Amino acid sequence: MMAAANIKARTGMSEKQLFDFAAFRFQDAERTGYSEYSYWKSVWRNFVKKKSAVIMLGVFVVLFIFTFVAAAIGKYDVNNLRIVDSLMFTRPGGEFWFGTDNLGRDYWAQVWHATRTSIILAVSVSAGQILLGVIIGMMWGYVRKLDRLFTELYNLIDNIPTIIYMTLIALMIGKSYFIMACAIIGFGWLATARNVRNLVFMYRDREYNLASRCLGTKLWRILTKNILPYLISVIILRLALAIPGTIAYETTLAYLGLMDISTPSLGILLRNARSFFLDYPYLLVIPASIVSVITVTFYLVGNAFSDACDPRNHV
Amino acid sequence: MSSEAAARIDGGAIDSRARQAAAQPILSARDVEVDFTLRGQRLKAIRRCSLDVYEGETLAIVGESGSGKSVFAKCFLGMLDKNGAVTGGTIMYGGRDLAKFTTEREWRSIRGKKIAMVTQDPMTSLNPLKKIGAQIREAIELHQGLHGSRARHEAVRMLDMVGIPDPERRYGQYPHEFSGGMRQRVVIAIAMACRPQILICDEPTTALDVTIQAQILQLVNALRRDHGMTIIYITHDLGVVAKVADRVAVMYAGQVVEVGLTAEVFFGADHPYTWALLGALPQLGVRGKGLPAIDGTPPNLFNKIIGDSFAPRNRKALNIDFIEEPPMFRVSPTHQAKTWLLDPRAPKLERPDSIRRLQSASIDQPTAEATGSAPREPLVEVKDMRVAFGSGRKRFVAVNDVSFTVYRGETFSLVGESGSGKTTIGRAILRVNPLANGEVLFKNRRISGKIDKALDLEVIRSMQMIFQDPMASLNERAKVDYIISEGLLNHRLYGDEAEREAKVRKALEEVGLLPEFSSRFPHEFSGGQRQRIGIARALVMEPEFIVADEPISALDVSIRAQALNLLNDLKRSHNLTYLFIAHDLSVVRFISDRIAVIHKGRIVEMAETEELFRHPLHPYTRALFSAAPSPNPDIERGKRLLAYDPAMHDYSSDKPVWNEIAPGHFVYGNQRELDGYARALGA
Amino acid sequence: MLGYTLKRLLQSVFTVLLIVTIVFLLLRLMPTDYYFTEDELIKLTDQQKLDRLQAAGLLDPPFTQLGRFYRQLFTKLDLGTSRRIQVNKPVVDLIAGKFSISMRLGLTALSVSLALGVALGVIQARFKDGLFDHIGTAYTIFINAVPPLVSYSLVLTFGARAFGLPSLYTMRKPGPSSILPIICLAMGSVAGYMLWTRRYMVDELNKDYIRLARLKGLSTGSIMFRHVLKNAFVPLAQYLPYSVLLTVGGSLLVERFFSVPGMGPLLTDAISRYDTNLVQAIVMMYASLGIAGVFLGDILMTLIDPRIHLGGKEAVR
Repeated sequence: MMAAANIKARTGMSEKQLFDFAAFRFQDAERTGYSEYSYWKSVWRNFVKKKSAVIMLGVFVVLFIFTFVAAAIGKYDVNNLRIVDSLMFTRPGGEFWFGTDNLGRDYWAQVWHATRTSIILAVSVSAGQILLGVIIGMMWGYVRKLDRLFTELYNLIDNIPTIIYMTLIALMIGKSYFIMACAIIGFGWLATARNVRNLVFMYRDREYNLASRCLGTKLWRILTKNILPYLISVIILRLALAIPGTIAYETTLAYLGLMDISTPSLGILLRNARSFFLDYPYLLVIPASIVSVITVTFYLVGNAFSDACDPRNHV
Repeated sequence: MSSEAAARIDGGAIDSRARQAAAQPILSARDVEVDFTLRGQRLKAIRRCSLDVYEGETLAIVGESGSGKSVFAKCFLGMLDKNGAVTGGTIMYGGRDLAKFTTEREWRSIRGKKIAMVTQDPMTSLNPLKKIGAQIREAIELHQGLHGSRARHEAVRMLDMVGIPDPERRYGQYPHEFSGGMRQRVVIAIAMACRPQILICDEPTTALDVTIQAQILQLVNALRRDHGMTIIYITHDLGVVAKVADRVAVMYAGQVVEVGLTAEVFFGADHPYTWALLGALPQLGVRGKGLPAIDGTPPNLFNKIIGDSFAPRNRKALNIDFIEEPPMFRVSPTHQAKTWLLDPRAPKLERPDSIRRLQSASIDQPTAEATGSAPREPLVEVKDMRVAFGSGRKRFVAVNDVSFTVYRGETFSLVGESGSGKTTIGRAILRVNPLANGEVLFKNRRISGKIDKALDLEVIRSMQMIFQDPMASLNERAKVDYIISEGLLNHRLYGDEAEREAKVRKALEEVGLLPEFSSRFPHEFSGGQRQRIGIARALVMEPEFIVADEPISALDVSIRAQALNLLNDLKRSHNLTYLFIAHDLSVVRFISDRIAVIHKGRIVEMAETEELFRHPLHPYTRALFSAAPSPNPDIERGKRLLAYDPAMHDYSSDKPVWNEIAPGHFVYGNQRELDGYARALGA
Repeated sequence: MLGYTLKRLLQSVFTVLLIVTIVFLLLRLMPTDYYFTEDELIKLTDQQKLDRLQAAGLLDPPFTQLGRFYRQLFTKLDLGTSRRIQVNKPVVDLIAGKFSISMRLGLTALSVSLALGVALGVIQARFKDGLFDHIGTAYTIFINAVPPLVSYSLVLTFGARAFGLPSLYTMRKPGPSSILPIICLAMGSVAGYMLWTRRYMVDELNKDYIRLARLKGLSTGSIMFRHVLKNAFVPLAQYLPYSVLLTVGGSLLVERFFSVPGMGPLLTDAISRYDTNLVQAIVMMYASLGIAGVFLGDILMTLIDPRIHLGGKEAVR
C-alpha cells in the first residue's frame, strides 16, 4: 500500500486510474529487442581490438610502399648491377647501405626489388589459390555428382608430397616465375577446396537452402547468396594465411633450385646467403627479417580475423 | 479461486498440501538475480526470483524459452555459462548458501552428490568414445565408493533399474548403439548413480518422440516413488506438467509469476499469463474457431522491463502494470501469484472460457464443425509413392507404397514419429526428393519425374513449403526483403521494383508483421516472428497448396496458437490447401480435416479427424493417442500408456492390405486384423 | 569389414599404378640422351647410341615399354638400374641404403615432437588464456610464419656457435651430428601437435558430455584426462600412420640443409639429373607410402573410435 502511494505521487494517477485497464498497443507486444547488432560491424570491432595485428598491418603497408621508394633513393639500379670481384662481401656502409653480395653487387637494390617481387608473387598466388579453391570447393560440396570425382582427384594429388610434382614441373616444363606461380596455384587450391567443401556440406542441407530450392532458385544464386556469405570469413582467413605460406614455399623452392635465379626474390637471396651467412650474417639477416615481418604480419592478421569472425567472441 | 476448483483441490490434493504446510523446504531460493553479459550489454536473465522446493515432491518449472527456467535451475549447481553470474539473493540448501559458492571444489560437494541433473539432449550428452557401463561406473565410484566388480555390478543394476533390457550386454556398448530414448535412460541412470537428494530434469523429453517421452516420464515418476527423491522438472510442455508434477511454478521473463499445487494452477490459475498459456493450448481449441492466442512476442531481455513483464502482451493489463512490479499475492497457503489483479483495489476478472473448459472433463470431445459434403476436387494425388535413400546394401526405403489424395480446400495431416518418413513425403511432393516408384499428380497432371518448363514454373508457384525450424529456415545473411522476394526474383514475377516492394509489404502485413521489418536481418526476430517471415516467403508466390512441415513444433507455447490461427486465417483468405505434417496428435486434431497416421514409411490408418479420434483402429494409432499429453492433470494421471510393438503383427501367411473399413476410413492390416477392426467399429 | 578392406586395398594399388603410369609416360617425353651416363654421352657415336637404345627397347612405343616395365616389376621385383646417380646400381639397392638413415632421424623427431607437442597442448588447453597458452601460441605463430630456411639457419648458427655441435651430418659420428637435424625436424611438428591438441581439447571441452561429466561431480583434472584427452587425440591419431610412414621419405629441406645422405634429396637429385628409373621407383615409393598411410589411419580410427565402421561413407581427409 505504501508503494501505491508513492506511485500516485510519481505518476499523478489516482488509485482508481492505476487499477483501470490500460490500452493495448500492438507495437509494444511485437517489440523485438532491436540490438543494433551487425555481424560485420562486430567482426571489425573485435579485429581492431587486436592492436598487434593492426600495427603489423600498418608496418606491412609502409614496407610495401617503401620498396618503391627504396629503388628510387638507392644509388644502384637493380637492372644494372655489375659483378665486381674487388667489392665482394663489402659490409653495409655509406656507399652500399646493405653491403654487397658474394659477387660484389649492391645488396640494397636487390633486397628491395626482391621484397616487391616476393610480395606481389605471394599475394597473386595466394589469391589465385583461394579463388580456384573456393570455386572448386563450392562445386565439390554442393553438386553431389561431382563429389566422387573431386574426392578421387584430391586423394590422388594429396597422397604424394607436392614437392615431387613441383620438381617434375620445374625440370620438365621450366622454372620461370610465371610457370612456378601457376604450379603453386595448381597444387595449392586443394586445401582450400577441401575446407570449403566441408563447410558447404554443413550448410548445404540446411532448411533455408531447401526453401530456396522450393522457390526454384538457380544453382548459382544459391551458391552466391546462400552459401558464399557464410564462407567469407573462412576465405579471408585462408587468404591471410596463404600469403606467409606462399612466401615460405617460395623460399623452399628457391633453396632447392626450382626457381629461376635471374629475378631476385627473397627466396633466392636467402638461398644465396646460405653458404656465406656464418661469416657474413648480414646477407641472411636482412632478407630473413623482411620475410619474418611479412609472414608474422599475415599470421597475426589472419588469426585476429578468425577470432573476430567467431560469433562466440561477439560478446 | 472458483469453488469448483477449490473442491477439486480439497478432494485431490489435500494430503500433499497439509504435508507441505508443515514441512520445511529443503532448498530455498530467495530473490535470486542472474546477469549475463552478451555483446557488451548486460542482461538480467533472472530478476529477483524466489522458489521453495520441498522434500519428496515433483516441482515443475514451466516457461517458454528465454523465461530463465533453465538458468534458474543451473544456479543450484553452479553450472551457469561463463558469461553469467549470480549477482544477488540466496539459495539455501543444507544450511549453506549456494549463491555464495565460488570455487569448483565447493560445487563438487553439491554436484551429483546432492543435486544431480538430466539434460535436454541425450544424443550429445554421453561421451561417444566411452562405454556406457564405464560412464555409469564413474559416477558410482565417485559417489558410492564402490570399486571393481562391485561397481560393475551396481552399474548393471542401474541400467536394469532404468528399464534397459539385457543390461549385461548393454553395459559394454557405446552410446551410438543406443537410440535417443535409451540414451536418455542412461543419462538418468548416471544421475541416479550419484544418489542425489534432488534430481533436476531439464526438458529431458523435448528431443524425443511422443511415445518415448511418455515412457521416460513414467520412469521418472517410478524412480521418485521408489527412491523418495525430490524432482525439479523443467519444461515448456503443460501436458508433461499435468502428468508428473505435484506443484507448478510458472516462469515469465526471469521471474516466477505463479506457483501452486498442480490442480490449483491448472484449474484455479490467477495470473493472466497462466491463463493465456493454458488457453492457447490447441488441445483446448474448438475446431473452426480461432484459438485464444497470446499476442506479440516474449520479452527480449536486452530491453529494460518496467512493471509487470507480461503487461505489453496482456489485452487486459491495468495501468499500474506498466508502472510498478506487482508483489506476490498469497491466494492459499500453497498458491501464490504475482499480478495486480489480486490486489483488492483491482477490478474482478472472470477466468477465460478455455480454463473453464479445462475444468469440465469434456475436453477430449471438442465440438466438431460439421464437415460439408460438397463435391470434392482432388488437388494433389500421391500414387504408390516410394522414396529410397542410398544404394546397394545401404539402401533404405523411407517411404513405402504411400497413396493418398488431398482435396482442394482441406487440411490433410500426416502424423508420425521422427523417422517415419512424413517429412520425406512432403519433400517428395515438392520434388526435393526424387521418387523411386509411383507418381504425384497436381490437378490431374503428373508432376513427378521429368516435366516441361511451363509446368515446372507453375508447380513452383502453386506449391510451397513452410519449414519446421524457424532458426534454420531463413538465410541469416540476407535481409528479410530478399528472403521474401527470392521467389519473385527467380522468376521475375513482378513488373517493377515498386511492385516487388509492394508485394513484400503486403505479405509481411498478412502475416502480422510490420512492413519496416523488411530491411532487417533474421537474427533480430524471435522464433515466432521468423516463422511468420517463412510463411510470408511462401505466401508471396500466391500458392494454392502448402506443405507445412511441423510448422509449430519448434515454437514457444505462447506462439503456437498465433501460428495456428494465422495458418487457418490464411487458408480461408487465400483459398489454400494444406498438407500438414506433425508428430503431435493433439495439435493436428484442432487444424485438420483428415488425418493419415504413418509408421515406418507406411500409412497405417487414414480417416476424417473426428472419425479417427472416435474410432482409432490400428494399434499404432492407439499407442500415439495414449502417449499424447493432455493438459488436464486428472485425465493425464488416470491414463494408461499403450505400447506398440510391430512384432505383434503376424504377416507371414496372411498378407496385409490397405482397406476401406468404413466410408473414408482406411486401415492397413491383414484379413484377421481387419475382421477385428470391423467388429470394434460395429460395437 | 574384410570385404571393404580388400576393396580399399585394390583401390589403393590401382591409384599407385595410375600415378606410376602417368610419371612413366611423362618421363618418356624427355630426350633419349638422358638414358646414358655422362661418360657414355661423350664417348659413344650417334650410331652406337641408337643401337644401344634399340637393344634396350627404349625406342619402342611408350606403351610397349610400359608393359615391359610392369612385367619386370611384377615378375622379378626389378625396377631397373640407376644410370646417373650411381651407375648401374639397382635402384632397389640404392634406396635400401638410404632410407634407414632418413627413417631413424624421422622417427626420433616424430616421437620427440609427439610427446612434447601433445603434453604442451594439454597444458595450453588446461590453462587456456593463461601465460603459458600465450607463449605457446606465440611459438606456433613463429614456427608457422617464419620460413623453415630462416629458422633452420637460426638453429644451425646457434647450435654450431653456442654448443659446438657439428653443422653437417657425418656417417662417422651419426649421434652428435643428428642432433641439429632432429631439432629442425621436430620444431615444426611440435608446433603442429601443440596447436591441434589444444584446438581439439578446447572443442571437446565445449561439448555437452563434458557438462554431464561436470554434473556428475568429476573434478576438472579427471575430466581433462579421462574424457577430453582421449577424444581430442582421436582426430590426431588418424594422421599418425601417415606421419610414421612418411619418415621413410625423409625431409628434403632438412637433409639438404645438413647434408644428410638420406632419401630426402634423392628424388630431386634423380629428377635434376634425369635418372629415370630412380625417379619412377621413388615416385612409386612415395605414392605407396602415402596411400598406405591414409589407409592405416582409417583402420586405426575404426579401432579407437567405436562410431566409425569401415564401409561407411569414405571420408575425405
